[in-house]
Amino acid sequence: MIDVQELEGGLTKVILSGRIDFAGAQAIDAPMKAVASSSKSVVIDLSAVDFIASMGLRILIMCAKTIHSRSGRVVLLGAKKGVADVIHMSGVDELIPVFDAEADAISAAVPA
Amino acid sequence: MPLVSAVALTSDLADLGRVYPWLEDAAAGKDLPEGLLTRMHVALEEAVANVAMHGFDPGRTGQITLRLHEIPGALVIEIDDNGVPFDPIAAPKRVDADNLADVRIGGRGLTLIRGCCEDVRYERRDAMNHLTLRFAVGAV
Repeated sequence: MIDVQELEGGLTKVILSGRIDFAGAQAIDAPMKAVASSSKSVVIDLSAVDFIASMGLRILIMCAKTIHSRSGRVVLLGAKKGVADVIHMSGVDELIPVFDAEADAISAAVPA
Repeated sequence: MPLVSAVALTSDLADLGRVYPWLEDAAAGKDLPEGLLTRMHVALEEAVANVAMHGFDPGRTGQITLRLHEIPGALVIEIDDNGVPFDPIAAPKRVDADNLADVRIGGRGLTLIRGCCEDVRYERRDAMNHLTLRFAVGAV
């Protein structure tokens, strides 16, 4: 459901997987808050997420808001079509940059 | 409208997870366009989450009834609840923000619902909220 990896250069990679439905959102809520309160450069990998809707999107936005308030950066990586459609439909992609390639996501998340 | 399936839930967060298997079962065997079931799940989650989070005073557990109907060319989900009057269609529309600091979390829900279904209607009747979501089965 959620795997948090601390990588070189102060980058945090959050790998989400499965269904981020009511139960999924509850499961990732506390770990995502922990990332939001401690990390400044975050790539959230959505490539293994099968479903996301409003509860999951709320958590992504809250995480990004918190990190942004500390002048940090958050980007989304590799959403499948159905998940990417929901992110676009909700306008979340206007707030959190979305990338298909990991190298591009990392470049955007880590200040030059 | 011919009723396909109905389920009664409480507004308790632990109970809301039942919406997904209910809809899966109710729509099973129907020849749905690609992606429609996912869009129905997304719209239903937002609608039910709104009711659970905003419809009832703290400590009060509400009742939510879901019904799936099938009409020519469309599936219709009705969401009835006994919470405080709340018309999501009349709720403030999403305000586009240039940055995350200005964004409000809740303003995107109706945008999401509208993006997922063909028609959204609200009615307050008999001290209940009635939200109707129509999904075109013929559209892709």
